Amino acid sequence: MLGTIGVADIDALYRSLPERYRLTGELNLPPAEAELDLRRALNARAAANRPAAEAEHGAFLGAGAYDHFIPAAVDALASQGAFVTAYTPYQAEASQGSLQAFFEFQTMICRLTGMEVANASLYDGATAVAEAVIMSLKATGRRRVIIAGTVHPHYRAVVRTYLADLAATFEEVEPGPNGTITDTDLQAALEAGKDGGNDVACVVVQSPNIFGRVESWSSLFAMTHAQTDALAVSVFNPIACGLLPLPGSCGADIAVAEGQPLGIPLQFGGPYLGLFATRRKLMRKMPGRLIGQTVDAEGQRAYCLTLQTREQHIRGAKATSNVCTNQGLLALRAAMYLAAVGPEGLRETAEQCYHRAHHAAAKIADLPGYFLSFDGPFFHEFLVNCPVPAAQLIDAGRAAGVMPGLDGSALGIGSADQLLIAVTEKRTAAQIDQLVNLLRAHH
Amino acid sequence: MAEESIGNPTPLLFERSVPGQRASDLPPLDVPTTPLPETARDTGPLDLPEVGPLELVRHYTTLARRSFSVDGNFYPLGSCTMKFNPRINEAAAAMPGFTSLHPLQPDEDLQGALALLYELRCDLAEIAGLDEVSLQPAAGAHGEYTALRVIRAWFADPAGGNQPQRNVVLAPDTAHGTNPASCTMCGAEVVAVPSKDGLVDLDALRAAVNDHTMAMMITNPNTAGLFDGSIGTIAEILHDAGALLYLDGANMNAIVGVARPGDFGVDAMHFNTHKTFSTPHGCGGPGAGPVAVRDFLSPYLPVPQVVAKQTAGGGMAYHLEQDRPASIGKVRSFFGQFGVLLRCWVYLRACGSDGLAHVAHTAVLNANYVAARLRHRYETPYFDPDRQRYCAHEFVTVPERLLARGVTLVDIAKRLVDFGIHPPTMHWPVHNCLMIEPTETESLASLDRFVEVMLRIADEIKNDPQRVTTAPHAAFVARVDEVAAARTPVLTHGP
Repeated sequence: MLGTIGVADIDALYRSLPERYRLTGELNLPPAEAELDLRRALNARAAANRPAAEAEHGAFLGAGAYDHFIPAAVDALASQGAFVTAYTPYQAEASQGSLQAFFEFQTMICRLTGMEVANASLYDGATAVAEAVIMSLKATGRRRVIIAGTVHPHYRAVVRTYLADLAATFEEVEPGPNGTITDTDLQAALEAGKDGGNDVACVVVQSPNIFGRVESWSSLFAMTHAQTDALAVSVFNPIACGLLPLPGSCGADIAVAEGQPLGIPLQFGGPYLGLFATRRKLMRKMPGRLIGQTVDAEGQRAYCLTLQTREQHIRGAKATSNVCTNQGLLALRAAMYLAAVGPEGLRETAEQCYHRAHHAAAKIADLPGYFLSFDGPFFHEFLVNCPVPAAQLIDAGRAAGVMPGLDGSALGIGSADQLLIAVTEKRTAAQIDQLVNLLRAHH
Repeated sequence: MAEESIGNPTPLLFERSVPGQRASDLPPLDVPTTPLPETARDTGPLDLPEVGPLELVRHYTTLARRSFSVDGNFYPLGSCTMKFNPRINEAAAAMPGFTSLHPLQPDEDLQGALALLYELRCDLAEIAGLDEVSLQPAAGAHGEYTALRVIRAWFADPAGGNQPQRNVVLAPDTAHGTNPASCTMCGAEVVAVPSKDGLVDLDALRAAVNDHTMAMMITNPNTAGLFDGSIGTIAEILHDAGALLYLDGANMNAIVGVARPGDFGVDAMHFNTHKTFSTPHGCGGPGAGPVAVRDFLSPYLPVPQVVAKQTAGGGMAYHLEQDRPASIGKVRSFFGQFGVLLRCWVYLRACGSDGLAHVAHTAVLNANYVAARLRHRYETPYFDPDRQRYCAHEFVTVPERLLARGVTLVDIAKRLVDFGIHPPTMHWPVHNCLMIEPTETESLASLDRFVEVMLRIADEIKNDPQRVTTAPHAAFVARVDEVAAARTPVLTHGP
């Protein structure tokens, strides 16, 4: 090979790299290891963890990352090399399979949300919310963002980061006494600006919210639209769509979510999946990849990336977003999950989450010293006031093999004696009993 | 009539749907029911496909067969580093000790995962020749954005001289599209610096810097496949003007283990783990874009940061640090693309220092070999071994003589598909170019076959151009009408 190039050694090929920049010694890195030794090292690292989804008597941790059942077919199908080791389907003729799978994904997300167009994914729920906010700024030409204080604290934090250099203001509506945003408080926030809210770019509301409570999108978004032409951004939970009203039927202009509940393991917070859907009239303002249906030269149905003039590789500084690599494989997993469970399975999963969570909540509310922090409808997660610090319960759970929930103060959504408890379809009656027993023992 | 034309060989899931079918079940509810909320939908289940278990598996198996991939095809997609993805990485990422971790568990439950992240953080800093790494960014573009925000935050701070007016980013005219787009996302303005012979025009750079310059974003080796030997001078020009030098690490595959960006004047950079460190591309993601910076920028890195402390017993305790007052804040939820970072850790452990240098050397050798074999039929404007001008890990060809015969670049690309080869990157960084990146993991036989195919296409353009202009002939579909797709967007199935 060197002869073909006409050089004596590989060093000659680095001619343009000045000598003084070339490493003379080795990097200070661990020595290379054979696969078997790597396996041993990995086993040791894995053994030093205490994984929630493996907890002997169940884990009740949520706050945006949920332990749902994943059918074996999802892992098997998503781990096919043809999906794992391909890149963005730039060349349609070489990538019809993944393009069709993404086209189906887009369709499923539209039907899941009641929206008209969906992209082929963003990084995660938090960045999907941030992209929705940025899209709203661009679509409306305004600089005021109103976000419910009941939106996941990480999502709010990321929006704050994204807005910091964009000359936009960020206002939070404090949660009302029932753990949801009240119409009155939203009204006040809208009117706080000029023109009765006509300087607002978007109103962001999550439901079920960080407390698990169901917000009244219909009424909040109707008020938003009656008063301004700001965009209504709904942050949804894809499993809850099996049971609760869809963003599209509640007046949302943009619907975004963390797609992790759809067949993606907890895997310590990532990679996850940003879902993003909107109305057709806003299609050209959307961030991210879009797959379209078309025909080939013989008139057969085919698919390709489309509306690419929105994107960074064509439009540079004027692109709708800088996103390039997205979460393709996770979008495929979500599509495979939805295909595996189907509409009845999604409804059943959502109902089981609901019933199991309400069963747990009722039993906990009966315990002396414990009460639900909020009244009103919730989905599969609820905040509980405890007679002892949440941290103490979490510690006690470690010995008992139960992970009872998340500390409200550590999460930044409540106090140190509040526990956020999530109950998915995976939590059995026996596990719920263990949880209740653990709490009963501490008051 | 050919068998495959009977019925549709690739129905959509929606077309496979049969009412009542389902590929998954749940155990029956073993708790009492609670009345559903008043707002529960009573309009019936959603309009999602209903398929049985075999239909589900067959559907996605069929789709997998209709996708080119590194596993199945030579994939010399320039700038994307489509190298082999070792299976041990996948096996590691699938271990329940990692997949079953909830991101909000207490640190003490996560010591194995945090140890691994801490080690990766340190290893990447060493490879970069910089001081501190954030593993938070989800992809390369996200890394660019994060680093630019960090640089802006430093300039706005007393530590950076209270210079919020520095909001102009310089980028070569050959920059990745994500560079200017990332600037816009953080409210910075982009000014393009022209290139000369594929390298940064130093006079133009000197003319462009001023006290509004925040940084220059540079890819080195650059997108034309050249290592810019003036990088030290470029760094000096920027530093003299009070600005910083940012490296887009997309092309690290050419220099990893051979040279360190920190040693040639770079102040901040991102890695693309899905390029350099072999985490798989997954049909478009997930990637990860760790950011490395000099110590004066580290207080501004996003939260959380993984840190280590010596314990009383002499061991290490790992912790996610949230309290960094100067931090730009969070750039995503939880803690980065853990499953991707884990694969990256495994890859680095499998390579070691020597292994990384070997990666770069072989990637560069392979690219130069293919360029040398093709250049007499496919012009290589920046590659000329007769004048000792070599490429890095990728090269650009602008096949003017072939195009002059009336074929287009697209024709050549689509003809490659007939031979089971994924077309190279097209029309970028210059018009009418193919950017070819073979990567280090391809065998000589695979490179030779690619060359033979390219030469055969060149012959066809001369002797049977229609064979090329009507390609592909043996792909999953005939040429796809992308213009029609954009003119009348059909983004979902059905009404």
